[in-house]
Amino acid sequence: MRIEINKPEFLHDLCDYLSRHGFVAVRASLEQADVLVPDAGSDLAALLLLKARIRAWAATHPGIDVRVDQYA
Amino acid sequence: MNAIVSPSVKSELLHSAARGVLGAMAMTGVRRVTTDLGLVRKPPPERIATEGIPGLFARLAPEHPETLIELCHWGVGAVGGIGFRIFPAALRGRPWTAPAYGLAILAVFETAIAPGLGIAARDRTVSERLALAGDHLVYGIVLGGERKKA
Repeated sequence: MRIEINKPEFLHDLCDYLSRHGFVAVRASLEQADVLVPDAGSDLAALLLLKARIRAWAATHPGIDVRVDQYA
Repeated sequence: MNAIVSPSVKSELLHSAARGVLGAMAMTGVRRVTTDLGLVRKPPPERIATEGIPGLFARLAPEHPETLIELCHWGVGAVGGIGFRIFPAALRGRPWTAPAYGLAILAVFETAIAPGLGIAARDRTVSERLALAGDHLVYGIVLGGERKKA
């Protein structure tokens, strides 16, 4: 899956956060990163886990919008 | 509860709930087709899970979210069935009432539930809206199948 952030300066922090929680997050461009969810049993489970984790991160980073493209 | 709801009313409500579950199952069958054909990108139950409350679904069923989503959908179908049974018999007996009820449920989702959960429904195409209206009509038709017995 690919994530896109509206404030690129926070992408590194988000990738670090996701990596600490078991995801594989690799920066793909200034505002995008590719994310793998190793433990997910299905694409839907992966999407739910990633979105839940991103929401938890975004709750401490107000004003930051992260979009998830599950088909990337 | 026993003093308020008679056994016959309980039985009728259970029957309506069961018809609601059957209607929801029929909707799922229609959506298998409309999703596969690309008419529907993501059905409402999945949108609620992934865009509305992903954390809850990830916590409750991390291994089998598809199953939980489907069971929730059937549960909503059952509640809808009970809601329909509460309508006056004369209204329920009309052939258009149940299909209209199915469409009304979609309208409630689009105008109240989706915005409340932060789900953007505006990005739906005309074909997707028609497909969703169609599967809600199927729900209503299945639900209204009991009217001849009422």
